[in-house]
Amino acid sequence: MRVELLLLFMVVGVGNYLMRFLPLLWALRWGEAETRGAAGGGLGALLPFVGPSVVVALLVTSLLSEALDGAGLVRAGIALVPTLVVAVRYDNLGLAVLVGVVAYWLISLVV
Amino acid sequence: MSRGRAGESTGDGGIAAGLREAVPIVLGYLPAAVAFGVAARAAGLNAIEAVVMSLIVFSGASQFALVGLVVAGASWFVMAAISLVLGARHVLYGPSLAPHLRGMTRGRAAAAAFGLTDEVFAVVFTKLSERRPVGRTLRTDFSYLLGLGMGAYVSWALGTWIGAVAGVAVVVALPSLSPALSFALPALFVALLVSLTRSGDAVLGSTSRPVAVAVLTAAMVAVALYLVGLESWSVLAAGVSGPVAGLLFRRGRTDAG
Repeated sequence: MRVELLLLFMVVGVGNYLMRFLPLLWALRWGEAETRGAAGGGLGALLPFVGPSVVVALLVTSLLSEALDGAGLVRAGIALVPTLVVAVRYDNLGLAVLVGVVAYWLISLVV
Repeated sequence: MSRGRAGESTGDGGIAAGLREAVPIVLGYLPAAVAFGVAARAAGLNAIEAVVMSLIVFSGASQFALVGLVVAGASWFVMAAISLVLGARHVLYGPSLAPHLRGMTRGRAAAAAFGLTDEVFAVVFTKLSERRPVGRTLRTDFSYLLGLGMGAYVSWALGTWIGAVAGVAVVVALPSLSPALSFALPALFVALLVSLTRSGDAVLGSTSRPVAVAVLTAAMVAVALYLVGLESWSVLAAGVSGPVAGLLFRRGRTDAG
């Protein structure tokens, strides 16, 4: 294990971790303060929209990376249909993912 | 399973539930981690260095970028800076979860934050959004977060090790299964989006139209940035522009009504 690589991993790892932890810590404290009436503002009204917006962005970027070639786009597009149907019908994450993966695999045998 | 506070539903939290709900994430992480292990070896890292990177950094985008920059011979400063920029989207996740986790201690938040990857955030946010009333954290939340993060973390490290040790043999042996498994993450995001859209009514009042506006705006911004080669900013930009659009739409409707 090269020491310079270990140091690089530490810098990036600590940086990534702090970007996950510090905003959470700040928001937890800010939330407590807001509950006591010491703070306010429009940030709290924005937060419920963040999850759906981030999830759709993750979906779009993951699909676009699948679509590097035309066949990948076709496979992903077709496999999305049963995935969506199962997600809407059963509201079960595991089942929807399983159906999506199996559908993609079956389609990849043809396309 | 431990009990929640009086008057609160315990849901199905706990470490076992977290591990169970990590399965879709594990399905998506394994092929990506194997691919990372292969790429890391090709870039000149040994198997230990590849696994240590996954254990310390635990961020796919940053790690793939680091490997690419090692191959390109970039300076250490550039490698660190670019990897950190790629992780900037994570700043959105904590504030988004915090309204559901009020009362969580600093130590528990510090431990839970380590596993807060894109996929873990998406699953946790969906689960917590379905719970009513929104507010203080339940006793089971921390162990649930820990279980979910642990499942993701172990699969990421294990996949890296498999890829680094077995190398391209794994990719060659599973020519059609590997891409199929990589579809697990898009499938997971689709299912989460359906679930979030359903819970939008309860979160935001009588209509889910503001959520739809936020989602459409975020999708368009993400696509646009991806197409112009700024994919590393797409999630962060979508995570800011979508909520602003949704909130403006809701306020516009309120003013009009």
